[in-house]
Amino acid sequence: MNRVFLIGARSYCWTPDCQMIKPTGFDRRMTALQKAVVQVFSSLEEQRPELIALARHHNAPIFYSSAYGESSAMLQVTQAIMDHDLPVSPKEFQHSVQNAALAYLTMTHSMHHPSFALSGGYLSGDSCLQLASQRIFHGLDSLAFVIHAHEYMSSSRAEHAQAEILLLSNQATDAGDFELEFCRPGSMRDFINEAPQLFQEQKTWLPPWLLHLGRPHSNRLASSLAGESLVTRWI
Amino acid sequence: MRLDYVNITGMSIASAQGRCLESLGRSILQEQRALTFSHRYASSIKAPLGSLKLEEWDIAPELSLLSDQVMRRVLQSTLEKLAFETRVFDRYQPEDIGFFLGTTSSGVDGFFSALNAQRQSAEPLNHFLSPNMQQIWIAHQMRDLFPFRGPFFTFSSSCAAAAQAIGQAFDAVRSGFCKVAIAGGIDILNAVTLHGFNALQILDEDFCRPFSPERKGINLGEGGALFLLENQSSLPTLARIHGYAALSEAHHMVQPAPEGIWMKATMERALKNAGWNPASIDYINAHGTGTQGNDAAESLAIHSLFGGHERLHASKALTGHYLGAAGALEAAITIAMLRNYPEWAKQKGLATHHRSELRGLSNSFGFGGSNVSLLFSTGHV
Repeated sequence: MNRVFLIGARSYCWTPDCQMIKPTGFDRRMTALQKAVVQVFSSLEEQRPELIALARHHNAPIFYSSAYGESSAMLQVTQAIMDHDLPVSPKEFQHSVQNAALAYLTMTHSMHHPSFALSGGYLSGDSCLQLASQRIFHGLDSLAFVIHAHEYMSSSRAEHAQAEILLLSNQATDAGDFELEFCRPGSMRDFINEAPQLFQEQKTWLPPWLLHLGRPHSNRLASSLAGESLVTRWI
Repeated sequence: MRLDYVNITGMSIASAQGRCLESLGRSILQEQRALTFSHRYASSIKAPLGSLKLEEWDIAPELSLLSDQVMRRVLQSTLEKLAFETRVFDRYQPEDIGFFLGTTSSGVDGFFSALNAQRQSAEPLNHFLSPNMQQIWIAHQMRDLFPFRGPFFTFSSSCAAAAQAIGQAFDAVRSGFCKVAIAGGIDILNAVTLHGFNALQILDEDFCRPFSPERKGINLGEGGALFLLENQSSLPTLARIHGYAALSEAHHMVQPAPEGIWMKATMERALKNAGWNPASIDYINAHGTGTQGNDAAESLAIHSLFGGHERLHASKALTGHYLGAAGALEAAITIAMLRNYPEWAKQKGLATHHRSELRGLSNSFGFGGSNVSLLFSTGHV
């Protein structure tokens, strides 16, 4: 088994008054969720360009997840159908697909990497991390991006959106990286010496973020109403 | 140790063309079109659809427009058939069984329900979000019904969703991440999909003609397929998966790059992943939607890589486009055509010669430039 290190991480909250870090030709078209995803990547690239260059060199896959996906675009499409305001907007329909933010990320940053859009429900971020890390543990990838995002809706539109990005590698840098001991199905029994940070779906509908103040929790247990539990330990 | 291939030992299909490999293969070989104008959305969409006959799935007429409920019943029945034929839940511990599903339309009904509730209050939509609006909802429904507790992922990369799920399951089994995996996809027709594609003006109101100079667009369909992937099994091997590739076009939200350069790159990377060369491919199941953009680009990509179109097959003309589940249905069609290769080759006027192994490639290219090519073989049993 390989080892898995967290060599880069950023969070970003997009609000309507934010300027794009890297101007693109799509700024006026993109949804809040798409802008948050593009911005969090640009933010990591601005902070650690050498890591992005390394990831580009290795064609690192991108694993992206959002529990509710493109909520504002879906809202526009479903509202139009309910109100018989047809045809629906072609732009909103294109933007309603789960991988739309990934598409804009790859277009704005000219990335031809394998990219996978997942739907993980309450465990969105955790299951994305599970897949990316297991692939590195088992030697399928040497580096991988994990991107997790959510759009916050008012009654009619997205007020803001948040995204986080983690760059995983099978090799440590010399910058005091966290090492992932495990990310897999489990329970409280996986934590003998130190109680984990608990995240439970019955307490909130919002999937928990993987990062807290830019760092992962050392011990983490996230449980969904569907009965899934994922445990994570970073060293 | 990473294996060169993974065995497919079970297959269950949800299609108007049949539920098993034999009936699907027979229907496709006989060019029986499953598209009809007499479908449950006929009052709102003029175009033909490849719709399931819901009465054959014991779905009550009053549920027919509730796509999530239709999906739940169809996928449950498809998985029951796979489980019965392969005894996977008797042969493996629940935590050894992975589940990799591709879908793009699960949760649509939940979204309409949330919007209805929100309209009756002054609260923002955030207050009405619930698990039945998520695309993983259908996978959670299956997890409640069947004993699989291993790695569990739902892929939603538009029309490449099921192909991504199968590719990831292949990697998981060959690397030892999973002992066994159930993989595939499901999508069911619904108002969002139908009105969305109608708004894009790419629905052909007649039967679609992929790769024809007169093509006018796509016909939509519904259903999917599930496969059982194992390293070693006492069950007969139906086919093998040898490799795949996924990449991002990074070009346009709904148009492929000119001349299909990234489509060609996807197929090249898949062949490299399996250690195969283009000349060794006997059958190519194209993405072949019938749209101007896709077919022009894919045609050039295939000609450039394979030197011609002789081995090309565009089965969406018979089935319709299953969207997120297309990669699963077309994986099943690829395997069915390889297992009936002499007949298919004869129809196409191709010379046949004895080969110990027949090889096929299946393409899935989704919105957002999400490309996947999968590689299969048969004939080694």
